Parts: sequence; structure tokens; C-alpha cells
Amino acid sequence: MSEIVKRLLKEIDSKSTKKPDKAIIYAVDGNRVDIRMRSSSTVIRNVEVSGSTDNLEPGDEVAIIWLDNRPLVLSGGFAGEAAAGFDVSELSNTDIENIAVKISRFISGGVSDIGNEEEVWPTQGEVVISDVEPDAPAPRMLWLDIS
Amino acid sequence: MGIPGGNTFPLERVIDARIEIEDSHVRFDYFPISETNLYWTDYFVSYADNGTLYRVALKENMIWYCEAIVSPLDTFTATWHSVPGFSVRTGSNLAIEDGYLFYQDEVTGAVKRILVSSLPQLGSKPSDPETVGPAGRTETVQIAAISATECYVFPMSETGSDRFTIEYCVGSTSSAWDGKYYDGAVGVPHVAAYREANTDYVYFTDALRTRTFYIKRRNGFWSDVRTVLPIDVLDDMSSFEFTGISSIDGLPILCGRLRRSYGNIDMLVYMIGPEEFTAGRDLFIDTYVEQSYRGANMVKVGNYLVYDFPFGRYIAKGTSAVDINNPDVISSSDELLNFNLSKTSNEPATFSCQLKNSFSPLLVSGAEIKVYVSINEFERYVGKFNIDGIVLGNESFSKPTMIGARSSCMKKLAQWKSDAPYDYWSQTKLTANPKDLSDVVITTGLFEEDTLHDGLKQRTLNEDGVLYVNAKATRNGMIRADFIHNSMMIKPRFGLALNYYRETKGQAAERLGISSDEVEETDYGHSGIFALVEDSDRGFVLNLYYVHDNTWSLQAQATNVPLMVATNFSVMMKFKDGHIRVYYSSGTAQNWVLAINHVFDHETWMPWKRAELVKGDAIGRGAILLNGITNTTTSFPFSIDDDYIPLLDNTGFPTVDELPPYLADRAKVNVGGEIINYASRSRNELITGLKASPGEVFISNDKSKEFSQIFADLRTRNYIRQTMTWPATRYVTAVSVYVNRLNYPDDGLFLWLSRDVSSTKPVGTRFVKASVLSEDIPENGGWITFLFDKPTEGKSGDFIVMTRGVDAAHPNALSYYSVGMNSSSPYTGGLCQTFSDNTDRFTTVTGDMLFKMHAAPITPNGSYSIMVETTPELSAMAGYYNNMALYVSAGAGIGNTYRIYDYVWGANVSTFYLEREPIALDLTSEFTICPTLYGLTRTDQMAHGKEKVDWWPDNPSTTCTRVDYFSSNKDKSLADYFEIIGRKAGVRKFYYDYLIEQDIPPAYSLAMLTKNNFLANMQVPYQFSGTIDLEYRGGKTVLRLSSSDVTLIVDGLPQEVIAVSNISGSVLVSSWDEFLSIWANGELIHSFVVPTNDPDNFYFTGTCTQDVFLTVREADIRIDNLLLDTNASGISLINQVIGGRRFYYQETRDDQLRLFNVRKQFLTQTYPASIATSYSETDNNIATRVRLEGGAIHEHIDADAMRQYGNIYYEGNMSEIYTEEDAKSFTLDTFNELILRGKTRTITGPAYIEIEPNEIFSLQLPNKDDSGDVIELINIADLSYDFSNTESEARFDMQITGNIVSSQEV
Repeated sequence: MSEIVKRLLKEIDSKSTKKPDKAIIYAVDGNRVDIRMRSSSTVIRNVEVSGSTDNLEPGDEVAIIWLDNRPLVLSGGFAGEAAAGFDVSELSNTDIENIAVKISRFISGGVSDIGNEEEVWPTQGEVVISDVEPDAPAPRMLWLDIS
Repeated sequence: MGIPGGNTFPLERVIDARIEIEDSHVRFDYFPISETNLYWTDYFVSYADNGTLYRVALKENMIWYCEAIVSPLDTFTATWHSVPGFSVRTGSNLAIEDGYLFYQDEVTGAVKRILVSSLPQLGSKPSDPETVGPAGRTETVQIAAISATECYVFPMSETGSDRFTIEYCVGSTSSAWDGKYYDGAVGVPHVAAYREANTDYVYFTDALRTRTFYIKRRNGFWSDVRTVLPIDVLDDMSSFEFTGISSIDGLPILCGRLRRSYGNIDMLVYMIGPEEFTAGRDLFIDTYVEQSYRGANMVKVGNYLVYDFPFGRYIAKGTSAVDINNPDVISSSDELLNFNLSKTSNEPATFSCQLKNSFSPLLVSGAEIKVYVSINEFERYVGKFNIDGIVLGNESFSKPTMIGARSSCMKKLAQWKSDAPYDYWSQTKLTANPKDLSDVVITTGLFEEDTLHDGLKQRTLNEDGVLYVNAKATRNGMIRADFIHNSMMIKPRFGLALNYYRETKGQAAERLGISSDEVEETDYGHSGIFALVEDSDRGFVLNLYYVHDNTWSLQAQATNVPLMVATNFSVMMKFKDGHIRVYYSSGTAQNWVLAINHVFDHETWMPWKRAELVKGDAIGRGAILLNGITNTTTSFPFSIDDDYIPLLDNTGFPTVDELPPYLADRAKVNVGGEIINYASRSRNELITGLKASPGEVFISNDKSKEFSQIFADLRTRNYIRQTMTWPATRYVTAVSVYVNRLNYPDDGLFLWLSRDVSSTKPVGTRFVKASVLSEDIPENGGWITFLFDKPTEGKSGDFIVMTRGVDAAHPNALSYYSVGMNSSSPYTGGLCQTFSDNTDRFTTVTGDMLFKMHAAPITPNGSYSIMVETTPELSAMAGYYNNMALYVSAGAGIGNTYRIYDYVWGANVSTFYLEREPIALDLTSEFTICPTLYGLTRTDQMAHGKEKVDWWPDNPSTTCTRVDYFSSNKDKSLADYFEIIGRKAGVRKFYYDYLIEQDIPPAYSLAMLTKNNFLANMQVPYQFSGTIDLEYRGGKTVLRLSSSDVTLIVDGLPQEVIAVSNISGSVLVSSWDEFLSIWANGELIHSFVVPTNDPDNFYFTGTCTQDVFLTVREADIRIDNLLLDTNASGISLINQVIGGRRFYYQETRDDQLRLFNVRKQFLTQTYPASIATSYSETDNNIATRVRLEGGAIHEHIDADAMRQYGNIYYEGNMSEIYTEEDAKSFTLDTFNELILRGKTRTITGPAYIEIEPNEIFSLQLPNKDDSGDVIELINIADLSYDFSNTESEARFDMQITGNIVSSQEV
């Protein structure tokens, strides 16, 4: 038996079920959305949205969290778009970590490695942290684009 | 000894045991047909009776018949033969019920019935098959028979319908469903019906046969349409097409084709209904093979199940899984060596045993095992278990067979896993004052709080302000809103909507063919069904509109609506599967007046906009609309200082003089937020497209242009001069000359009028001039006009001079102008000369310039004016347009507006005299004459563009003070969810403990509860007399049912009366917080909002003297929503739905799944000598003070416990708490659970099988210090039984571990 099959059997035998952390927008109806999980055949109705629904459209993939057994869609929190730039040369590693931590709280996601040349958030691309011009002469800017 | 069933504990006992094994799983095998083959059919039905299988087919409008004695099952030898004389309507179907065949006659279209068993005897069609329903029909129908004499029909065209209704037919009558099924696709649904407990279940597929629905009907009430499978109509990964439903000894079995995407899931299945269908281990018939199964259903032949279809059949042995007691699958053994049975709450009981031998091929894993123990030859049933595993023994080597099993129902729950995250909802309920803006969301309009009337009103007029209710979108539902209209001068336009949907930005962009970035607020499409109170010429009306992407379509109107100013006016709309009812209630009236009763019927639109976007997504939201109508128009731009407002139309704006003196201050308008009083109104005309004119021509040389003649070339800095004879002194406005441009000179041309030539001023003294740019001069010659800044007086002797720009050579000598000349018939009133700086002298040329001199028609007296070319629309009356305005609609100076203070008509040119100097006009300018309001009083002046102008006699005066919104979904209780999950797992029998279970007349009822939040189910007799009263909150809130209406009574006063005829059958009343809802046979009758600040007492009473069966289960607690996790077991889902509530479930010994809250308590018992006990205690994990927080908060202490243990605090959060009543109840339950943990008793002794975990057992026992006896109440936590049967002895003992609830010394 392959290791993969063994692992699956172990999961089958276990009683825990991991709740999904992503969903597809099925419909946008005012301030609520209907979503479906990636592999799900059914639609979950009337899901609350943290943030604005203005820029959500059917088919969008969004991050969700679960509260009291109901999903909550994280739309990014802004009706429009926001961007901020920081001169990396003037930031200490601690500063960068702090920025990362604050944003990770905002989207309830995690920051894996802020030091990489380019780091795309694993959730929605709602927040993109990147050195937009890695080869450009100093100062190099750390850009946070939040949409 | 005093134990209940006292023979359980005899001191002398003879014990024996036996087991019964049933291989209960239903397994189908395929059998090809052996009778003659029809090869194909249009439709097929079959049924069985007394071992005979009757098969009927429809082929080419003919009825074919086949009858087979099914013994043995796999050897059918019958022959199909046609029954002559029948002609069945093409596209219709066949139905069989109670031995009768139903079909639609080809000629008359009537539905007819004939006894199936008579078919073989018929040489031809009988002369008079009985008609069911109308005697004739034009449309083709699909038939679903429900009894020998009744059927449901689905009328549609021959090719199907994208929407259809249903009729119930009996005798010669029919009654139609009040709604419609709107599919969106065209096709013929598959239909069938089933009757159980006086309720008809009508099943049908959608047009494409990918989903199966049902609707219930009883006593004339039709439920909402619900899905069978997939549960969610939007499930596009699963599809279920049912083929037939039938009764197997009273068990409804639905068969069909179930498909799921991503794999090879395409199978024929059977499920047990009739509502929450089973989908556990007993499901599978076979994999699907492409052929016609339509009409095929399950029949019982002997002890066999047969799924019969035209070209074959599946046959299985019947088992207890389908309530068939079939000896072929049952075996029994009394060679039981021993068994152990352990029970604990909320988990499957475990059973293990040893047998001397394996005794039967039926002994397989998954088989059911029933255990019986006899004590002194009195046999007791221990329970039913499902075998988990078997280790076969060998009797020759004295090796026993070992069996492990679990309690049957609980094993089903543990083994079944959900295959989708189904999202279940109870009724959506909302009541709110819109002013709070927390329960409504604005989509259009500006609003403000109306503090006087305590509500929300709009800040604008003549603009629909829409707010949707912030509650879940639903398919069917009701909305009610209260309004106060406070102005006699503003016409009302207010009301509400269901199925409201505002499209997204992307959808708006796609519909309009623009990018998302370009979408403006006004571009969004709004859709819904609106009921609005409006003013018509004949008084106030209620109008019903379909709105589709902002297109309004009036569908129905109710007149004579008694709206009164400053009086509450309520509007209510109910929507149920296309059936729209609009009611109103005025002032303090209790009765709702049904104003509009209408069925949605639009040729192309669906009732739900979302269903047009995605098939099946038939939902929408509730909304309210506020507006006030006065006369409204659009302004043209006017400035901050202007004393007039230019308008498109000024009718309907009454002047001060036209208004009664006491309303004189109502002559005001709102323009873009500026409130402006006005005194007068101009004439109301709008004339567009007036072209600017340079003025009347008073001298000209406009003869034929002789291009062969030389032009006076202006190649160098030359001047050309033309003199003329003046008829009189005139105010010159412009001069037109004929000019030709050659190549591309950079400079333009100058023209001026000069006089007073002298030797030092050879071209005279210039007194007015104008210029024209190079690009405005035509390359091939044409008239150009030099327009002077203002009319200038010219007189005899004045002449024209023209020249080029300063650098006449640019860009080169080949780029220059030529002035058009005329030499063959020269102008006689003057001369044309050229002048050269080089020669410094004039030279008379042959011919004359072509020119026209323009002048203002009258002396302007220094005023500002605009001249236009006279058109037929212009009045010839002097001063006709005075006080109107001239708007520059195109060309130079566009966007400016000028007030007209005088007007002179001319045959060619008309002149408007203006208040101020016009800006930047030229001959490209075009004008519009527009009406005005003038004589303004402005306090907050602003400049305005083209803006909405509203007559503003009052501030907006319609206020909404309340909105209620309810979906039609039945409230679901904990018990309902328990059953939904259980049935999916394959459990079919449930047991509940009841708070109320009585079947007596309300007039004699003593039913009472000390709670208000619960669901009550009633079976109400048809046409009962008197009243049935459900009294909540100590009788202060009463829901009164009579045979004509349902009334809400608060504090003894009727509040709302809902007319409903003969409410009866299955009636559900849900009381939850401030909401009281009632359903009859699945149809929402009404939802009320009630006070909540009264005591928690419920009474059931009334004057009805007929029996009403009333039940309230312990678990009839409303649960708002449940999202079933996918891939979760039934047990974990049930634990999820129970949550923090103190409910327990277990399997009863008669195979029912029990859900309960209050533990069953036995009577006090004396001490049985054979029982041994032990005692232990702890203060770990107990609490004497408990606080729970959720939607409400409650804290509880128990004085005795506090004294004994001290202050041990526990605090918890519980999402299940919605109300204060919940908080109290859950806190007390939690306290009782925690305090129980302190003292534990273990009891060992002879088995007593009637008790179960979580029951409270009362026993007289030795005190813990043996100082005497106590009577203890013991909550049973764990329970185990041991049975052994050896050659030397038989033993059947039990051990109980329980918590001591109370202890009392004897």
C-alpha cells in the first residue's frame, strides 16, 4: 500500500473534518453573498461579508473563516483600493515583520516569508507584498497593494 | 421486590437466550425480459396485485398490455398485445393507481380511467371509460394518479412548457394550484403522486429532468415547492430524475436515476419517503444503462421487490429494510454461549457474543441481529444490532463464532457521511423600524430619520428610494410595512417589493456593454415585484408592477384605496410560487383587505431575476420603496444671481397667485438641494434648434460668382476695398464676403468698416473690425461672415476693407486668399479697389466684391441681443417670449442660458433682447427657447446645471415606521433536524418525548407549558366549529383559529385578522421570541409580530368541542440554520445540531432513534438483596454557580450546592442562546449537568433491561457509611449487561454507573 493511500485511510478513520478556507462566490446579492466550496455541489446562502461586496463578482475565489459553524467571507475590507509604499532601506527587519503581522491580522492569513523578493499572498491576491523593482537602484520600495 | 415489572429480579431465575439473524440489506439482480419485446414505448407503467404483475405501455398512441403471473420471478412468459380502440393524446402519459389506468383521450383531451384488469378481456375499447375532471381539454396533460378516482394533471403544450400549473381532478371537477412552476427551460416533466395520511404528495421533475420536486396538498392547501434531490436546486453536480413512486405495503418508495459529477456515479436508486428521503446504505439498484426507465417504479410481488421497466427488471428479496418480513432472509439460533452489551448515551451500544457455530450463510457483516433473553420462560427483547464483524468458529474444535455489533440505528448514523454541505434554513424572520438602518440597506435614494413619526423618510421627491431588507433572500415569502403619508400636496408613491434584486457591477457592465469602471450608480438594474400606493386621476390606487432591470410593467391595479393623510397605512404582499397577493390595512383596522390577487405571468421574465441569471436560483429579497410625487422637470443651467429658473417644462408649478392665500408659500422648488421660492411662471413653450443669424442683409452684391474672373489676390500685404451705397444709417452686425483659400496660409483675414479717407489714411479710419481664421475659410470658395462684437452704426460713405494677417507671405507665396469678384454685371453702388503698401496707391479693379452687409433689425438701444434665423415655430407677436429663457444648446457659448426681456420677430431674422451680455457666441451657436419660473427668492444661492427641479410644496412626507419580512420556509426544530439527518443515514423510526401530547377538544384541554418559544403541531379537523386558541405569555397573546380566519389578539384586543377558509389538517405554529408564525399543510398562512415582555406561560384552549391532536416535543425548539458539514458522519452532525443544548439521543429497544431532554425517572424502589453497590465522590469539574452568555445572558446559583461545595464558578459561551428564555433554560440545564458530577454510584446485580442510559433510576440503598438506608435518584451514565450460558449455570447480570441526583434518608 502506498504511503498516500495509507495517509488517506488514516484520514478516513479519523473523525475530524477540516473546514475549507476558500470558497467561490456564486452570487452577490447586496451586502450578502452565496458561496460554494471548491468541490461542493451545493450553495451556502446568505453568507456575511467582512468588507465590501462592491468588487466581488460570481466566480471570484475568496478566503473564508468560520464563525459559529457559518462561513464569513473576507472580501479585503476596502470598498476601493489602497496602496502603501515603504523604503525598504529605511526599514529594519523588525519593522517589516511588524507590517506583515498587522496585515496578516487584517486578512486573517499568514505571512510566510517577507524577505523573499516577491511574495504573493496565498489567500486571494487581495494583499500583494512585493519588491516591485528588485533591480532598481536604492531605495527599493516595499509595496503593499490592497484591493 | 418492587422493581417495575417486578418479575425481572426474581431470586430464583431460569435464564436462556436466543438470537435472530436477518441479512436485511436489499440486493437487486437484473433479469432481462422474457416476454415478447415491444422494442420501444412512449410510456410505461406497471403494478402488482396478488402476485400478478400488470404492465401497460403506450406506443404510437395505442395502449399495449401484458399480464404475468410472477412465480418464479425470473420466468415471465406473458405476451404483449395491443388493446384496440384507444387513442391516447400524443405527448401525454399513462398513470396507474388502485387498479385503474388513467390516460388522456386523443379526441376530447379529457382524462379518462379504466380498470386495468379489464383490459385483457376487451376486444375493443369500452364505450364509456369514465372521465376524471373536465370533459374536454385542448392542451396536452401529464397525469399523476392518486387514487382510483382522483388524479393530478399538468397541462402543457405538446412540446412541453417552461412554466406550468397543476390541477387536482375528481369527478367532473378540477381545482388548480394557485401557483405555477417557472422552469426557464422548455420540456415535459415527469410526474407522479402519492397519498399518505390524507396528504397528497405530487412529484415532478423540472423540464430537463435533472431535479425532482414535490408539492403537498391537503384540504385545499398547497405547500411550497420543495426539492427531493438534489436538496439544493442549485446543485449542478448532482441530478436526480425520479421514474416512479409506489407504495410497498404502505411504505413510499421513490425510484430514479441519481448522477454526480467527477466520476462514474450514474445509478438507479430507491429511497423511502415521502418527504425526507432516506439515502443510507439501502439505496442502490444498479448502475444506469441508457434506456427508458420513465414510469418505472418498485412493486412488491410476493416477498420480492421488483423494479420493473419496459425492457427488463431488477428483482430483490424483500427485507425488514423495506418493512417486508421475509423468512428467506431470517435465521434463528439458541446456541448463544455469552454476550456483552454496553450502553452509554449519545453513542452506539456495543454488542458482542459467542455462538457455538456459524449456523447460517445469512450471518454476514451488515446483517441485523436481534437478541432475546428469557427469564423464567418470560422472553424479553434486548435489542437489535447490526453486525460489524464476525470471526467464524469451528464447532469440531470447540472454537466458537464471535460476533461484534452495534445498535442498528446508531450504527447507521455513525457510518453514513454527508456528501455535500447542505444548508438548511428555518423561516427568515425580521421586524424593524427602518430608521435604525441596521436591518435595511439603501440601494437608491437619500433618507433621514423622521423624529415626529418615529420612522424613516426620504429627503427627496420624485425619486424612488429603495431599501432592501437585510434578511436572507428567499423563494417565497411575505413582507409588510407601515407607512404614514403626511402631505395633501405631495402625491404618494410608496410600497414594498418581493423578489427584489439589484445586479452587481459586473452584471450591469455586461448588460450595458460597458466596462465595470464605467458603471454609474444609475446604471444598476433593479428588479422585483413591487406593490405601490399611488395617486391616479380617480384617487388612490394600489399598483402591482413587475420591474425588470429598471423597466416597469404595470400588471394589476386596485382602486379606491382609502389612504388618509397622517394616518397609518399598512401594505402587505405575499408571494408563493407565482401567486401574488397584496393587502392593505388602514388606520387601526384589524382586517387586511385583499386588494390584488394575481398570478405572475410575464411572457419572458421570471418572477425572480436571479433565476434568469442562473437556472433554479429562484430567490429574491424584500424591499420597501419611498417616494413622493409632485411636478418635476429639468432645469437648464442658471447662475447664482439669476432671478429665473429655465426649465424644460413649467406646467404644474403653481404660482403664488394660483395658490390659495394660505398656501402661497408653497410656490417653491427644489433644484439640486436649493429651495427657491418663485412668484411667476412664464409661457410654457419649448422651441429647439434655432440657429444664430448675423442679422438682416441690407446691402449686398450677391450676384453670380464668376470664378473665371480674377480674384483680388491677397498674396502680399494688400488691402482690398469695396464701397457701397447705404440706404440709411444701420447698425451693422456682420459682413459676409465670398473668399477662396489657396493652399494653407497660416494667417486669417481681417475685415473692417472704414470711413473718412484722407491722404494720410488712404484706407480711412477703421471704426469696427472682425476676423476669420484660416481654417474657417473654404478651400474652394464660399461665403464667410465677419461678425462684429456688437451692432455698430454704419452710414453713407462707409466702406469695407479687407486684408491678410501681419506676415502676409507666410508660409509661402503659394498660400494666399482670393476674394470673390463679379465683373460681368458689376455692383453699381460702389467701387472695388486694391491698395498696395509697395506702391502706396489704390487701383480700381474690374468688377466688385461679392458681399452682404448685415444689420440688426431695430435700434438696439444699447441692449444685449441674440439674433436667430426665423423659423415657422417662432411667434410673430412682439414680446411673445418675454420672461422665457434662451439656452445655447450647441456651438459656441454652449451651456449658457439668458433670460429674454424682449423679442422682435422678423421675416428672416428674429431678435431676442437679453438681460446680460451673451458670452462667446458665433454663427455656430444654436438656441432653445425654454419656459421659466421667475421672481425668485433665494437664500442659499447656488449655480445650477441641468438638474432635477421638483415642486416642493412640503418636505418629503411619507414615513415608513415598520417593516416585517418573512420567508415561507417552515420553522425547523431540533427534532426536525434530528430526523432529517437520521433519515439521510437510513434511520426511519424516531421516538420523541413530549411536553404536550393530547387528542382532546380545546374546550376541555388542560395543556399548559411554562415556556413560549417552541413549535406546536396540531391535527385540526376539517370545518371545525368554535375556536382553537393558543395562548402565549400568560394569555396576553392569543392566536385564535376559526373556520374562517386566524386572529392575533393582544391584551384582549384583536390586532390582525387573516381570512383563511377552513384551516385544517396538519397545522404548525411556531412561537419564537417576538414572532408567531402559522403554517397549514406546509403553506405559510401568516406571520405575526407579538409583544415579548410578558410571562412565560402557554395555554391551549378555545371553544372547539372537536378533538384536536396537539403535540409539542421536548426538542421542538426552533433552530435558525444548520449547515451540515460535508463528509461528516450522522453522529457528528447530530452532535453539531444539538450543540450546547442538553439533549441526548439513544436507540430504543424497538429500533427507534430517540431524542430527549428530560430524563425518565422511575419510582422509588426497595433494595434488592442481590444488588451490590459502591460509592465515590469528587469536587473536580463541578460548578455551583453557572453563567452562560449568548444572544442573552443568565446566571444561576443553587443555595444547597453553594453551602456544600462553596463558590465554584463556571462561565460559558453558547451560540445556541437567542433569547432570555434560552439563556435561563440552558443555564439551568448546564448547572444540573455540572453538579451531577460530584457523586457517583456503581450498582451491580441482576439484569433489568428496561432501563437506558440517561434515565434516572431510583433505588433504596445502604447509606455510604452503612448507617442506614437512603433513597437515591441515580442518573445512569453507563450500563452494561453480561449474559453467559454454560453447562453449569446461566447468568444475566448488569452493572450501572451513575451520578447521584439526590439522596434522601429513609
